[in-house]
Amino acid sequence: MEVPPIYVLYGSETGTAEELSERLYRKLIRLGYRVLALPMDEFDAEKLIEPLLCVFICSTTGQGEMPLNMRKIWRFLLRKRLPFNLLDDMQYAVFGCGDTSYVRYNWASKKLDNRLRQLGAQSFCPRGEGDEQHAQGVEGGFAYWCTHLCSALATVKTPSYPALGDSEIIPPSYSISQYISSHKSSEKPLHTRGTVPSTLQQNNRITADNHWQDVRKVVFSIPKSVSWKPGDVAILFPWNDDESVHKFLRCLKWDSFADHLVQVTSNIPEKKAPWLPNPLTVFNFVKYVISIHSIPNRTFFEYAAFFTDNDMHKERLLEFASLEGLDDYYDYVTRPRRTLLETLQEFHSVQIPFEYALDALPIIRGRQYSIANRCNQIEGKLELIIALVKYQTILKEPRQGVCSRWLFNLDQGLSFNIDILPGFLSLPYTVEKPLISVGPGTGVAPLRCLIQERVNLGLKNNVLFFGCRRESMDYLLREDWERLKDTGSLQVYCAFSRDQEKKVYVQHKIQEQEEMIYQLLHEKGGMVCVCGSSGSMPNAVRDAIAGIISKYSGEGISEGYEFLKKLEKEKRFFQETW
Amino acid sequence: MQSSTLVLTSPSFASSEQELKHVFSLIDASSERELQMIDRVQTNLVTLPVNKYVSVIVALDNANWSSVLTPIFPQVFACIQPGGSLRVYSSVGGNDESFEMTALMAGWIIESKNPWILSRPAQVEAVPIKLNRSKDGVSNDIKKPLDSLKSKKQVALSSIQDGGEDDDLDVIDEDELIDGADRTDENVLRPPECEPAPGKKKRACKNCTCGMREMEQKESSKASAQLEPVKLSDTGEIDFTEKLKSKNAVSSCGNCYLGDAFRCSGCPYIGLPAFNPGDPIVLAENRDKMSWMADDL
Repeated sequence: MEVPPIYVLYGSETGTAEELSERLYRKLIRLGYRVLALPMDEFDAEKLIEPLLCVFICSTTGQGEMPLNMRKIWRFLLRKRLPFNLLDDMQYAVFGCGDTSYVRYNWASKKLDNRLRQLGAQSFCPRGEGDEQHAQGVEGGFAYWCTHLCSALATVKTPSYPALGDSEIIPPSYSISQYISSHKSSEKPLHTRGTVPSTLQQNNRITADNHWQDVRKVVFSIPKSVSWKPGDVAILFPWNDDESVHKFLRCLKWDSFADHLVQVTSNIPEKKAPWLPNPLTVFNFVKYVISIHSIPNRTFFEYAAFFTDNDMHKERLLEFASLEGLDDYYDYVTRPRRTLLETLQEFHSVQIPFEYALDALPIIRGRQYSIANRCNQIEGKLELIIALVKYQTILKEPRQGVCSRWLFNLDQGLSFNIDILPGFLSLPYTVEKPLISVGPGTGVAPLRCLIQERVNLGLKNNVLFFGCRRESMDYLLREDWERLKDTGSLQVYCAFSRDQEKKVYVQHKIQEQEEMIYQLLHEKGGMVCVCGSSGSMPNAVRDAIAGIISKYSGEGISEGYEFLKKLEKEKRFFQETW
Repeated sequence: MQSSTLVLTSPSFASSEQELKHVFSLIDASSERELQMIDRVQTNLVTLPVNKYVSVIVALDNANWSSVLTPIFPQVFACIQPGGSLRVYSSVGGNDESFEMTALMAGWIIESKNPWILSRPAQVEAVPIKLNRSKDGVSNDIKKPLDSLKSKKQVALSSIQDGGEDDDLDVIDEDELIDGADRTDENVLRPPECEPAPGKKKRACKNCTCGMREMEQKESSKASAQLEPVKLSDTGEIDFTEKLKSKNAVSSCGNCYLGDAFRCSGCPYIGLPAFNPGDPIVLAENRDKMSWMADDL
C-alpha cells in the first residue's frame, strides 16, 4: 500500500510563504520523506478527509486576510455544515508569516490553526510564528520552528527513503528536453501570460520633467466585453531587456544553446510547470520567466553553493544561505538590493544547469496596480497610474523596480496580455451618500475610478483630499479633477507639502474642513475611502477625523475613535494601502 | 553508512575521566561516538540530527536525571533511528516512579528497567485504511466501523459539494476564530528575543524605537564619508591601476577585486562590481539624474 506523501500547503501573497514551503520541501526530501508542496488552492478539498499529514505555511495579507491562493479552500473550510469530525484523520502543523507592525498580526495562520482544530484535526507540533520585525525576520522564526517540526515529525512518521548525504543534491523538479533544430526565426512570441489581450496605447509621463519621480499614465485598449469595478486591480507581467538577457546567458554559459527550442516537463505528477512562453527557446525562457533583475533569495544561494567548483565562492555562498549568515545576506543582498544578474557576475564560477533553473532561480511575478478609470464598455480603455521606482543604494548602479525598468521605454502599440483581479472595496458607493476620499500621490488612482463611477451614476456629492509635493510638479491628473469640479461633481482640497515653508499634508487639509467633515460623516451618513502608501499617512488621517468628531460631539478623543470603529463596522470606512 | 552512538552528558559527569571511560566501554567498538552536553540540547544551542544514531546513552551524575531527560524526550526520540535504543547510565542511581509512565506516553518501548533501556519503535507508520477492499477480498470486521465512519464523512462532504452556490453564504464568521486567548498564546513557537549570535553584530529592527537605527545610520554615513569618492574621468571610466599604485588605496586584504561579497567594510570599492586588477572599469553611460527614495511627499 502506498504511503501518501506529506503535504506542504502554502498560502502566499508575495512569495515569502512559498519560498519557505519550498525550503521545507527540500529539507524533508533530504530526510527521506515523500513530500509534495502545493499552493493550498491546488489541493483537492475532497482529499482532506483522508488520513494525511499536512504542514500549512501561510502569510497574512490585507486586513488580517488569507492570501489569494488559499481563498478557495478557506471558503470551503468555513462552511457551517461541515461535520465536526471532518478532519479527524489529519495530523497537521501550521506556520505563519507575519509582521507585528500590523495590528492583525498573523491572523491568517491563527484562524487556520483554530479552524483545523475545530474540524477535528490533530496538531503534532505547536504553531510557529515568524515576524518581519524581528531581528532575523520571518526567516529566523521559521528556522526555529522548523527544527521543532522535524523532531516532532519523526515521532509520527517514518521516512520512506534513506536520507541524502550532505554532498548530494536533490533531483530537479523539471526535466528539460532539447530539440535538435535551433529556432532561427526572429519572430517575437505573443506574450500570452495573462488572460486579457491588450494593446499599449499610451505610456506618458505625467509629472514635470524636473520632478524627481517619473509617474506614468499607462493606457491599454482592451476588448469591450471586459469589465471591472472600482477597487479592482490590473496585473502586468514584465519581461527582461535583451541586453541583460545576453549577459545572463553568458554568465551561466547557456549562450551556446540560447536559440534552441526546449520542452519542460514536471517530474512531480501533482506539480504543474509555471507559465512558459511560446516558442520556448532558452533565450525566451530567460527573457520572460527568470527574474534576473530581482534580488536572489537564500534558496538561490543554496543551489549556487552546490554548482560551483571554486572553494572560496562555495564557502561564501553557503554562508549566505545559512541562518547564521542571515545578517551577511541582509548586508550583501537585501539592503543594497543586489540583483540576481549582479550576483552571478560576481560569483562567476557558478554554473547552474538549465534543468535546475526553475528550482534555483526567482521567477518573474506579475505586478498589481489599481485600475484608475471606470469601465466604459464603449471605449474599451483601461488606465493605470504608475510611479516608476528608481533609487540609489550603496551600489553604484541605480536600482530600478522590475516593472519600472520594463515600463521605462516600453513602446506604444505593443500587444500583450494582462490580468484583472477583483478588489476588496467594501463601501456602498452606489448609494446616494457623500463620499470623502483621501489619496495622496498614486493613492489617487483607484479613487479616480471610484469617483468616475459615482459621477456616471449621477452621484455628485464627492470630496477628494489629494496630497503631493508641488502643485507645478506632481499634481497628478489635475485636468480631470478640474473638469469634475467645474461640473459640480467634486470638491477638491490639495495639500502641496513643499510649496510653502511649513509642510502641509492631507490630514491638515482635513482638519481645515472640520465642519464639513463632521456634517458629511455624522449628519449625512457619509463614507470614507483612504488609499495610498502605508506608513504614517493612514493613521494621521484617522487621527484627524477622530479629532474632528470628538471636538464637535463635545466628548473626549476616545469618542472619535469609537466613531471610526462604528464606521468600519458599518462598512463605511475603507482603507487600501501598499 | 557507519553506525553512530550519541552520549548525552553533563559537564560535571564528563569531568570524571573514569566515569566517562566506563560509559564509552558500553559502546560497541565499531560504532562512531559523539558527545553532546545535555543542557545545550535543552536550550536549543544544539540541534540533534533526525534519525541518525543507532543508540543514545544518557550519562548523568544527578539523582534527578529523569527531570533532565524527559523535557527533551521528543528531540532524543527523533535523533534515534527507528528500532534504536536509549540507555540511561546514572552514577548515583535514582529512580523516578513516574518515569516509566512518561516514557510510555512519549512513545518509547520499555526494554528494561534496571538499567533503564528504552527503544524507539521500528514501525511508526499508520497504514491508511482505504475504502475499497483489498485485493484478496478478505473482509475485516475491525475495519468495518472505521469504514462506515469514513463513508459518513464522504456523504456529508458530497452533500455540501452538491449544495451549490447557496452554501457559499452559509459560512462561519472567520473573525470569531480569533479570540482573546490568542493574545497570550502560550502554545506557539516563537524564536527567542533579539539575541545576536555570538560574534555577530545586532541589527536594528525595522520599527526600531530604542535608537539603534539612528546609531547605525550615523555609523554608516560616517563610514561612507571616510571613503574616498571615486573620481570619474571624462569617459566615465575609473582607472584602478592608478588607484592601486597610490598609497591611498592599499588593500590590507587583497580581496578588493573579488567583489562586495569579499570586501571589508571600509573598502573604497564597495558598490562596484568585481574586476580584474589593473582593468579600467566603465560605468553605464546613461546615468540619469539620481533620485532618492522618497519617504515622504
